[in-house]
Amino acid sequence: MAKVFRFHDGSNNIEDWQTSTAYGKNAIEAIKDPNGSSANKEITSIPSPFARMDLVKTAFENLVNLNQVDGKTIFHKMVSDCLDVGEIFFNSDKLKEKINIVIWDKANDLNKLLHSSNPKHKLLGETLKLYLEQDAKAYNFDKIQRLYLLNYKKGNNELNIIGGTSPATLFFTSANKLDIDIQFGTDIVFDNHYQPLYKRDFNFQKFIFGIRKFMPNFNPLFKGVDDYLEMNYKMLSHEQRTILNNYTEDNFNTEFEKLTIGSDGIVEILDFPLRKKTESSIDIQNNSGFVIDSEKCKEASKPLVLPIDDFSDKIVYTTAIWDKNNRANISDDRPLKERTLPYDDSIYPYLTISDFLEPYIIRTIYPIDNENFFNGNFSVNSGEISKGFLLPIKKEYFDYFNVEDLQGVTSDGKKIIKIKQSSTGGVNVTLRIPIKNRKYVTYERTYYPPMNDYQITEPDLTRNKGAIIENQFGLTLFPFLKLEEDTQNFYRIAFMDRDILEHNKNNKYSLDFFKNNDNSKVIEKAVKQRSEKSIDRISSEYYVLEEGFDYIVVKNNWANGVVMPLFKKISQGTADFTFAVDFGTTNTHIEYRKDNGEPKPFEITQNDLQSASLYNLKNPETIKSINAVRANKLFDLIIQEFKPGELNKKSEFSFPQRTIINSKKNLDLNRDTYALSDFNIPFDYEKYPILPNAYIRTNLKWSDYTTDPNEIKVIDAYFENLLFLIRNKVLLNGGDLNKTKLIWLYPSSMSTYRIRLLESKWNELFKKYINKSIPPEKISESIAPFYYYNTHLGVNALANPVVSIDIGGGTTDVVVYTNNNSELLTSFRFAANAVFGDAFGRSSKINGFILKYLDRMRSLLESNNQPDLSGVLEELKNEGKSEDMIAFFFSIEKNKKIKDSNIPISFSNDLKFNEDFKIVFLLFYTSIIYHIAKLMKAKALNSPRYITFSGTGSKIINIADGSDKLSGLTELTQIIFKDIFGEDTNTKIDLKQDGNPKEISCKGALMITNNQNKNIEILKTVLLGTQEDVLIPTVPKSYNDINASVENGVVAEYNDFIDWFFSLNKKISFKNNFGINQTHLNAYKESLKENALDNLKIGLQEKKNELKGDLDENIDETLFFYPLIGGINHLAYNIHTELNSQEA
Amino acid sequence: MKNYLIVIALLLFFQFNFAQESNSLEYIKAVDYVTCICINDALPTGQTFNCQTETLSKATISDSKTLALFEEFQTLKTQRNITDYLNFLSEEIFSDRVKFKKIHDFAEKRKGAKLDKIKADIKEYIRSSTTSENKESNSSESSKITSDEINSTVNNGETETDQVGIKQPKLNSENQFNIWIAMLFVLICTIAILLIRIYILLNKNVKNLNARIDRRTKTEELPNIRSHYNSQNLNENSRIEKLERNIKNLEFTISKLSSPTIYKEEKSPEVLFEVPKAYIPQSIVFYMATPNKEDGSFDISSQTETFKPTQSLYKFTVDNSNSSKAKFEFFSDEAGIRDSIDSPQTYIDPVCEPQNARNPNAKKIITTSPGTAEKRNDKWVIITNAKIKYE
Repeated sequence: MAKVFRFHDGSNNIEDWQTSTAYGKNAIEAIKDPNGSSANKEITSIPSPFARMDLVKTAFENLVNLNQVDGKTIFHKMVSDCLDVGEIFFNSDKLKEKINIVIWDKANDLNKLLHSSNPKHKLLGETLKLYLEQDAKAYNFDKIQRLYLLNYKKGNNELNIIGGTSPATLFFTSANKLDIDIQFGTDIVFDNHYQPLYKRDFNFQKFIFGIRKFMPNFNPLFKGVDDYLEMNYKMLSHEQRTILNNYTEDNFNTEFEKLTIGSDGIVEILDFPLRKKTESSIDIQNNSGFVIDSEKCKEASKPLVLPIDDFSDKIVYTTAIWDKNNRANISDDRPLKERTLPYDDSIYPYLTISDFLEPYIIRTIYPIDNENFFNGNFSVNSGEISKGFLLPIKKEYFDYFNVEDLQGVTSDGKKIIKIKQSSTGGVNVTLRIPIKNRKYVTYERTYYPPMNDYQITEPDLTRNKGAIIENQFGLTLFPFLKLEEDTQNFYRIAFMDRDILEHNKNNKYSLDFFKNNDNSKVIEKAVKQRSEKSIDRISSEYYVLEEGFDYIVVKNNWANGVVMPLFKKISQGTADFTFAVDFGTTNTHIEYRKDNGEPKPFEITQNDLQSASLYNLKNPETIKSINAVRANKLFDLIIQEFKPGELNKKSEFSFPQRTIINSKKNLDLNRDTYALSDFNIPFDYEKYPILPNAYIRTNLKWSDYTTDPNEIKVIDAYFENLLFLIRNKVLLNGGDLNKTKLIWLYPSSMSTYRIRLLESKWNELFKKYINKSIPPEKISESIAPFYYYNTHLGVNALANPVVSIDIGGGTTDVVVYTNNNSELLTSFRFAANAVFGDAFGRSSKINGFILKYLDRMRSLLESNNQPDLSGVLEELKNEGKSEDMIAFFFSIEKNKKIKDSNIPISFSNDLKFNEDFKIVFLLFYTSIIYHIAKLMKAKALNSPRYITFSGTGSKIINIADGSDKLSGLTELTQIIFKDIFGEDTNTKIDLKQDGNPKEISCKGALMITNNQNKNIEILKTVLLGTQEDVLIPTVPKSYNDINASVENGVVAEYNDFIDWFFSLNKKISFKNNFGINQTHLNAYKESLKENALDNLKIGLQEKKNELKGDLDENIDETLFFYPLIGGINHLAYNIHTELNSQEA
Repeated sequence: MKNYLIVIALLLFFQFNFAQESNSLEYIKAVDYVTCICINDALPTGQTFNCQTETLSKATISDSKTLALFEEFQTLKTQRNITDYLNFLSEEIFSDRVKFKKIHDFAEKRKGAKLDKIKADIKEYIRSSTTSENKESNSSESSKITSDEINSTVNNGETETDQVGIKQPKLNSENQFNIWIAMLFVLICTIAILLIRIYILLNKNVKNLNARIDRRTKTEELPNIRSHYNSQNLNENSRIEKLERNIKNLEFTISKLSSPTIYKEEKSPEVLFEVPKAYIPQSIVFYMATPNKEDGSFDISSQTETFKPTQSLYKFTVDNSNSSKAKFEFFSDEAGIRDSIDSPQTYIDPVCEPQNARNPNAKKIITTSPGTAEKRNDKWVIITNAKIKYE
């Protein structure tokens, strides 16, 4: 049988040729597709665009016939691509960088073609017209005004049409093969993974179903599509179906804006306006599971936190689950609000790893002290921890979280941050950022060490590789506590920079301080530099802050790192503290009482450390690490320019402390200055050599601050330093600042003006640092010691008076007590410095004690291998002040190293056993007792029962009398009072002395009750010093009244005293009782009388100079001692030269 | 280096061309022979040539058609990439109507025994011009035999005395030998050039090292060392000795290679090995930074083999006879001296005894007598302090 040539089945009874009819639907459907619908290549050979529309329509119909919503046939592909086009239209707002809409106007554009002068255009126009007319009914061409085409702007050609609206199927694709970089959720458009409608973004589904529901005559116009939608509807969840069923046109119109193309109007399909998704970041925030879980973030759109590695948790990203193969960018330089979400293109803020982690991590040369600073949960794979790392966290992290969050754990107990060092030296940092629903995104970055110590490696962020940078620096915070109320926080932060290798010596550091609350920067009050790297091989900067902070960002030329102190949060306690400060000429001491307990010396122990450094000196690894690179200056400078950690008798440093202050040499006092910044109390003075750039100021008490306003800044700084220590002591020991009191001691010989200046400084600083309610109280130094003896040693001034003698460096204060109250007070500038100093500006080159003992002490130090003390001695010698050298000699035997090593150096013992110089000390003592006896007699007071001694200078009496009970001096004293008062005086006199004479002034001050603190002005009495017992102010006498007669009278009295003194030898053998060599006594007597008048005149002149012309004031100290000051100095020199000539 | 590579490339090119040249000459001769016997057949009797001894030329041909045929034969000389010219000249040219029409027509007219004879003649000639070493040729070099060729041979009934696997005509033994010589020559030249280059480089390195050693010996005695101090001093001497030995070996090798003698059986060249001189161990030196304040010891973990600026303060020399004992002296740069003078309690006092008072303005710290130390566990413990002076 012959074969009938046809595509479809049919009758075979045909001969030759026969008339056939047009292929109808059945015939078409009977045509077998040799490849079946599984062809993976689209049918693209039909050139007409309208045929493409037909193909899409057929695809919809075929799917309906197959009743398969899901599948891999060519029809599924065409429908999926068609829906992709629809979804692009729907998301056109966020895709405007990639897509634009091109209009083809049926009337205008077709006419242009038809009337074109180009015959080919005309032909095209006619062809299009033909199809439009012919297929008007089949494809609704008669109803269209415009077609809207999608142009992909990032394609290779000028126009890259990917699809458009279709009057047959809503949308159609062009089937052009284009690489389109558009993705909705996990679905890439036009890819090989076909996505039916029900699996798409529900908003888009609502949109399509909305068109179906609200477009008039949707079904006859788009039957295939309608049937397809029906199939999808059955695949939806019950909840989704309910939403769609209840969906109203108002909902549709409100939820989706009309899609417009600028002035060209609304995009429509058969006059039904097409709509678009309203870009609402609220949708993303509501839907996405990656929204950062931060209560601190108050932004309207909380950013997403996106993974950069495998993330297999099933979390909705924007409209779909995050694909585990997706990776967010490692860094994004755009501002947060301008970022577009990866794989989505919506403009919405998101965060990635480089927003939280720095490219560099700073490594310290010592382990971080993890008791005081958060170390990021640092651990090592093996071995000791010998280095530390600053936290490589960007400060932007704290826009979302607080410091406590970083120190905490995730919902499943994992640490928020972990830093782990590997055996190769690299470091792995893991940071977990909480997101919604108690989940978190984990970021990990490995930081690699440099190839050698002299290099800085560049990080490679494209591969998420950081770099380690090692720096030598130290950071100390003072105080290491934080008050709840922020306005009461005062800080000093010391930063030492010892980056001196070639590649980093030009590093410049800065510190920024931030608060938790709003991650705001705390502006420092001042930043002061002391040491400079170019000169001192280390630089030091001190930050002054008057607000609290929670973390610090350390910055250098390359890197940033975070330091997070674990502050002690302090609430004020209830204990009552009272402090007494003895601001002495040579030494300063502080005692305190807590809740009326026993007075104690001010100490800082391990239990109440006030400062903390990044390193822990108790950790042997720290010492090892620092020693290995010779970075010891980082520690040493803290003691020299800032403060030592501990201050107590068991440590190297304690009170009483020299009254001195340290600053850099060229400090400009015309600018604002601060304690523990520009100035500090150098507790290591006289223990270790001072630095070349240091400038030590002594004699603070008597410096020129009355006339030079810059000098008062020095006093300011000194007091501020002390008050800082006091304040922290109270806070760390459960005290209440509001109940804290301060007593400060002043010498009775100090002028009222000077006292008032000091008072104003104390008051001002006390208000700032302690409280405003209880002003500091001042007490005369002279009055205080008695109350210590009274309360602790049972000394009472009832039947007979008690004399309290406070011998300092420059001044001796004497107070006579009757009925346990101060009766009279006198003060004179005849104290320890009169014995050891350079009287009236003489040189140490003619100071007998220096000439005698300088070489000896030097030799003792050298032979006992104490080169550091030798160094100190050399420095003091170069300065040439005898009293400083002598003070140093006395201090050696109290030096901790000397005591611990049992080195037999004791200047006081040397003096005690020197039979030649002893006369000086005896004379010193006798002259004071003599004067007091005369004064008391002139005042018609009884002979005293007790004489108490206080003040550092009172140790002289122990040199005079080597016995521990002072029996020699006791007897001498009795004799003196008998001689002065007369033979009928039988009162037994006891001498009282404390082992810590400096401290008892403060102790006594703490024991005084209110009514015992009298205005000393009314007690002041001066015995003029002539042979007549002239008492001032009973007999007013000013400096202007001093004439030759008075001077001669003083000299006569002085000479009488000298004669009388040496006559005492007959009553109490100087040799037997005091071990004094009597060989040259007569010569000494004559020597003392030499130049008496000159000495008196010099003394008077100095006094007058001090008074600066104010000579009408009553004479405020006796003239008796002036000749003696010069006399004693001369005597000591003569003793030494006499000895030397003998030895020669 | 670039120049050396150009020379090597030129040598290789020369060798290649030489081989190429040898091959093409044979082919030209074969073409001439083919031309001759074919034109002979076309010429009238009496005008023929002895193709073994005579060369045919254009001038000898009067007939235009024959001349055209002759010229077509001459175009064979310009053919390229002919891997099997025996087959080409005996079969292909006669059967390729498109490329060689005239030759094809010539063959058609003589189809049959006459043509077969001509072909056999050609084959014999070509074969006889190759060497007897054809026997060693491997089968991969066999010429391609078309099915037509085999069929025609079988159909003609002729028995081919030739082997079925017709071999590619080979170079004669003399030519092959020349090519091997050329290749060997190129190889030797290449090796010689590389050795000379290595020698020059090593020489340069040695000179540089010597210069650096000279500089170093001049400055090493001064305690004030510049902070850019090179860290290779410890092993330089042994490195230099090693390099010198290598250079001597290379010089010997080059001298042997410079006048190569080619042997049938290659012997490996003699290489003289120098017995190294007896190794005298040098003292081990290392450096330490800050001593421990408490006990004046040094942690072993902080020792460095080379002086480190901003770090090293003390130089230790280990006793040759007892590696757990060492002497030490103060040894540092300006920064280290300054630090030590400013803070002797940290850097000097734990391990030194100053012989004079500390001078804040001193510029040097001289060790008048080194101290001694002993290695115990992980520390170097000081036995006797070093004596130093500030100057």
